[in-house]
Amino acid sequence: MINEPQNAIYDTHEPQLPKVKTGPNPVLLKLKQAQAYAKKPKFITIGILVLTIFVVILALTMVSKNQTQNQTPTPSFAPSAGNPTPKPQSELQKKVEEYKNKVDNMQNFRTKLSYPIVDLDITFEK
Amino acid sequence: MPNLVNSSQFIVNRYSKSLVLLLFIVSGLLFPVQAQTSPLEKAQNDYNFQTSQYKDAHDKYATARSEYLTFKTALSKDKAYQETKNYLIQVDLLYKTFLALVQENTNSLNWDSANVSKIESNNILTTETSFFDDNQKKVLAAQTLEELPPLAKDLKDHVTQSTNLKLNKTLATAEIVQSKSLLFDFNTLSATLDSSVKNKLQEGNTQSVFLNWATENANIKTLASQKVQFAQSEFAKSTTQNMDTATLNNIADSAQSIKVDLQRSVNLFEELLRLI
Repeated sequence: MINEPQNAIYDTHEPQLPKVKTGPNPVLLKLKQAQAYAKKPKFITIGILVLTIFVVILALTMVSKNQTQNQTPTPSFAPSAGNPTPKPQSELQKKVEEYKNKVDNMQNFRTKLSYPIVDLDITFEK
Repeated sequence: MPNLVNSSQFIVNRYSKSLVLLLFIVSGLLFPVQAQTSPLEKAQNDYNFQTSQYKDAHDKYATARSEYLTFKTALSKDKAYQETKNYLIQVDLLYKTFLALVQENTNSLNWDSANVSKIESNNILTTETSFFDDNQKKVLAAQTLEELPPLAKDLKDHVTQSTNLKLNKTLATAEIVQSKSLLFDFNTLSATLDSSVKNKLQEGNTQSVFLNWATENANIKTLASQKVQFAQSEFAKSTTQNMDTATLNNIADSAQSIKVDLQRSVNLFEELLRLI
């Protein structure tokens, strides 16, 4: 008795009919994919990520602003003769700085505001 | 299928719109109102813009004029009329924005220590602006090409015989006001530092730099004061609203020379601050 190969079982099945493509239109498929993509958490995650980044930047900016406003002068540990830095001198330095800026920014109006040069010799004769 | 397209577009649009809105809000919070400009900056921007408009109008006028002189047709004449009219309007606008710029520059000065009238200076500019307003109306009312050259001539005469001379006076005023204001600042600061130096000398600190400071300070003060006086005497020569260019140049040169003196004083003050 000759053993029949096991595959022979399948051979007993009826031959399958060739499949006819009845799937949806490829354009429709792409649209469906787009719709699925928009609904995907990936898209929403990106949005949330961008929002988070901006909120972090905003928070950091606000914190840095508060720090500069509330910044207390760093205590000086330099040895002193019991006399802190005299206030009048720092005011003087400020005044000298302001004065320096004013002198540096002194305008030369004659050159800064040079008059418009216009052509007003209008004739229609050759 | 249209429903599917609409719904997918709706979802995408909904997310992208909300994201854009979010970005706007956040960027608005992060960079608040940086676009604010001062009146002086605005006047400068207006003048720069008007200068480019003027150049553009001049190019168009030159082309239209050339075409008219070549072809002599009714159409080319009409185009020459339109472009010349527009050009003359742009000239008026250019002068008006320039006068506004001068006005804002004078407004930025400290007039407290000046003995010249700001009102008078402003009146000069207002009168001139009114002239350009009126001239603009005349140009707009012109109906033919032949009416435009006489209007241009009137404008030219006025600019050379009045506007420029009045502007000379305004700029000379500005130079003097600025110089006097800075000289006042120098005198105030110098007096304060002088008292500090005297204290040091009383304490027995007789460093030569302290002793020489007073003479150097006095030297700068004398030179700067003399130059301000010279500028004022030059200014007084003009009794009307007009001033010739040579006088303006003398005053402006004097002001620049004062600046050099006062820059010397800055170095002196800084050096002294390091020592006291």
